[in-house]
Amino acid sequence: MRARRTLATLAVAALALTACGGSSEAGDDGLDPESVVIVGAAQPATFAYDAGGGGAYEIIEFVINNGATLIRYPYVEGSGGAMEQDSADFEGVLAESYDVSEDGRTFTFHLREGVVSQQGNPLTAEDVRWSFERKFNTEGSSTKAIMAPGLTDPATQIQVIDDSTVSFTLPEAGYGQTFLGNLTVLISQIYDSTYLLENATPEDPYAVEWSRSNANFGFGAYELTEFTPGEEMVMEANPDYALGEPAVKTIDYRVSQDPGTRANLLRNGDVDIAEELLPADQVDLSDEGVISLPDVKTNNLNTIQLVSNKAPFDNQAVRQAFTHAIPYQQIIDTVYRGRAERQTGLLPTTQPGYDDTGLEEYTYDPALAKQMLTDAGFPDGVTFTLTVSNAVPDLQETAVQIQSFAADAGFTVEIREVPPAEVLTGRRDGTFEAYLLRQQLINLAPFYVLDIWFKSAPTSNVSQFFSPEYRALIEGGSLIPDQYGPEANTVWNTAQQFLVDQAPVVPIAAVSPLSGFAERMDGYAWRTDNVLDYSLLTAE
Amino acid sequence: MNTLTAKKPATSLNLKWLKLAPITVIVLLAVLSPVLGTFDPERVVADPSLSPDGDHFFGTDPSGMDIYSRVLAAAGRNLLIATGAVVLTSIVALAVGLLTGMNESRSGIRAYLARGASRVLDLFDAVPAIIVAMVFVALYGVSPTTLVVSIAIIMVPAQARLVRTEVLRIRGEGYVDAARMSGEGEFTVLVREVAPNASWPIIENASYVFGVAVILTAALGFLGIGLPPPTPEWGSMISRGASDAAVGRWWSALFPALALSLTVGSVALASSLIRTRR
Repeated sequence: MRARRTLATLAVAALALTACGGSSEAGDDGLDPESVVIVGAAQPATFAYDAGGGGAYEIIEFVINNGATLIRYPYVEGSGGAMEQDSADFEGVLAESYDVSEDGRTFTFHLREGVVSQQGNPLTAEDVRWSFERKFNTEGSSTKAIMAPGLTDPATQIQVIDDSTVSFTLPEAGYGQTFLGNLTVLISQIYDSTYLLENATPEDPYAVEWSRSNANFGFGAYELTEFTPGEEMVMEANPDYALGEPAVKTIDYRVSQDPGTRANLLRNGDVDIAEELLPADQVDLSDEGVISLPDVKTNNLNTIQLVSNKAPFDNQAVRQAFTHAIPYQQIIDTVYRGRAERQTGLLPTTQPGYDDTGLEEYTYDPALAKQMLTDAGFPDGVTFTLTVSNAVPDLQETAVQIQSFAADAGFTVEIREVPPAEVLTGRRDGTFEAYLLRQQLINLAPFYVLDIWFKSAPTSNVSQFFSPEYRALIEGGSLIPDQYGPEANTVWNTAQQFLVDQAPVVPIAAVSPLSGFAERMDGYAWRTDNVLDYSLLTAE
Repeated sequence: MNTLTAKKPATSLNLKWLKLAPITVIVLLAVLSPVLGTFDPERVVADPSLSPDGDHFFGTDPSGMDIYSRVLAAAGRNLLIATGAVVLTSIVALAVGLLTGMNESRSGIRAYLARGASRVLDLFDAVPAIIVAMVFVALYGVSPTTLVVSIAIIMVPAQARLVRTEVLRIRGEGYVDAARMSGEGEFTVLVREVAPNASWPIIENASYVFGVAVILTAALGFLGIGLPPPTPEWGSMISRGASDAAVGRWWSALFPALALSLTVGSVALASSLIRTRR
């Protein structure tokens, strides 16, 4: 009896030891290289990005990993050592290749063979056509506004040639670069039409409502397998992903709203990646040797949108004066601890043939700003309200710096912090006087970048800046076939000089990636949407 | 020793008054904050997140503002809002308590109104305080005035009920009947006889209202719906410092939290003196 009890004890102990040992794939330190833990600020509020998904970080990151597009910007070695996307070139994801017709207007995509969705349905050209039909027929979708003027009517412009071939015909050859750029963006993801139609109803013919709360209706690299609201979600690698099964098989995404707590989790080794950290915490952790930080110039641009159809910024001279009241370098040094870069225009300086002739950087010069205000008829200064989202801590800090230093330049700034929902309604209704915004333009085609913030739609045109002269200029540029050639670059330079002079939008700085990575992680690549592509990650 | 005839030591009385010392010191610090503060509390004056040293006694916050100067400046603002809330709450609660207490057992329209007012007070009391404050601030914006009014809306029901209960007891007292029989009108009876005697409970409870007002102001600031930044206010300072504290920069949140705790504790100590003296 006693011997039997001893044996049972030994068996239990052996089982316990086996369990503690982890899988046979575990590294020397007991960590599984196929499993990664990420901590972020929030979970996606919807899975249907094309139905008014907004621009929240967590939504974009989830959607680009759960779905896939026809093409993407290729990843190339960056100057800072990290991989980064080349926004002037394209490579296939769901499409193996594409041809351009002689007149430059028709783009024919050849789909990869053998690609199946997360539900097991094969990718077809009909999926491509149906996906755009859905996007253009979904209320609240920004697709129509973003795809114009290249793609405005999918019914006539998209043609299914056979099961694996589909073409898009544009009205002008010059729209090609912008159109291809838009196809890389998450609004252009291709959906599994068979699966979505199975879940459609007469009231919801495109299964839009259904897909708001049901994921895995695309061809992405990862499938959502567990979702605990407010706490955690688990994603498993899709073995049938078009570009091959990712190296990291399991992504365990946990939620912690407080950036300090996220930094601490990374410091203590409880997570492998922490997202949306405060720059101060990033630098501290890096100095301690706990994490590695990607060094890359991004398009994550902080701007002040000066609403130009109401006082005080309906006066161009006041807008110009304010450009000298912003403590640019102080913000970079204090708020971003040096992890941000000045940017004068809206276009990325890395684009082919970029022309910066005559583009002068705004400087902080309070005496000059005061003089300009006096000359403009405001000797006693100007008071205005600066609105900022209360969900972006570093922008809140930026607002405080501006408030403090602009006082010396004659500007009394009243800061108004509002929740994200109020940001959306304020942008839509045009109620702000000035708004501090960080936004990355995912499509970096020159016409798109110079157009999107000044379209007639108030949601994107936060500064309410409508100039016929400016529109004629960039629309003329959009028709030039070679969008990166000398002729086009001259137009883009003229447009940027126009914006610098008019100052409806004041670029402050482009912010470096706000994530931190444990030493065992590798494979970070900067994307134009500034989120993480899990399929590139590797872990030791 | 004959204990029946033993006198209480004179120092005992003086020690009792010591309960007022902490709040007196805090009020003095708040009043003198423009003089005692070493930097402009609403300006960036140094590098961010400096730990406490000889130049910045409490360190600097993530924006580079001096925490010591901000804690002092916030004291004045928080105490002023709390005082305003106490005064407004007391005035409104006294009026409502007197009207409901004197009229609800009568007949006619005044009785209906009084009983209706009582039920409205119950209704307000049933809603969580912070929700009421958030809704009010969302509707009318954030300013010291709206904070005072929202806190008063929250606190009036409890205070008015105390007055009403006291009025119900007093209105049957002999001296009230005597005043009526001597020819005093109903309004004069209310003002000269009932009000002075029914107002004691709210005076006693004023310290509680004061403490709640300080905490509510800080709570709204902590939730990000208080006074706009960079206005010095303890709640928003704690909120902004909390993230820093998680990564070891403890000073941003600690000092405003200490100031808040000490103030509420001091008010509670002072209120015990008022209760003892009644």
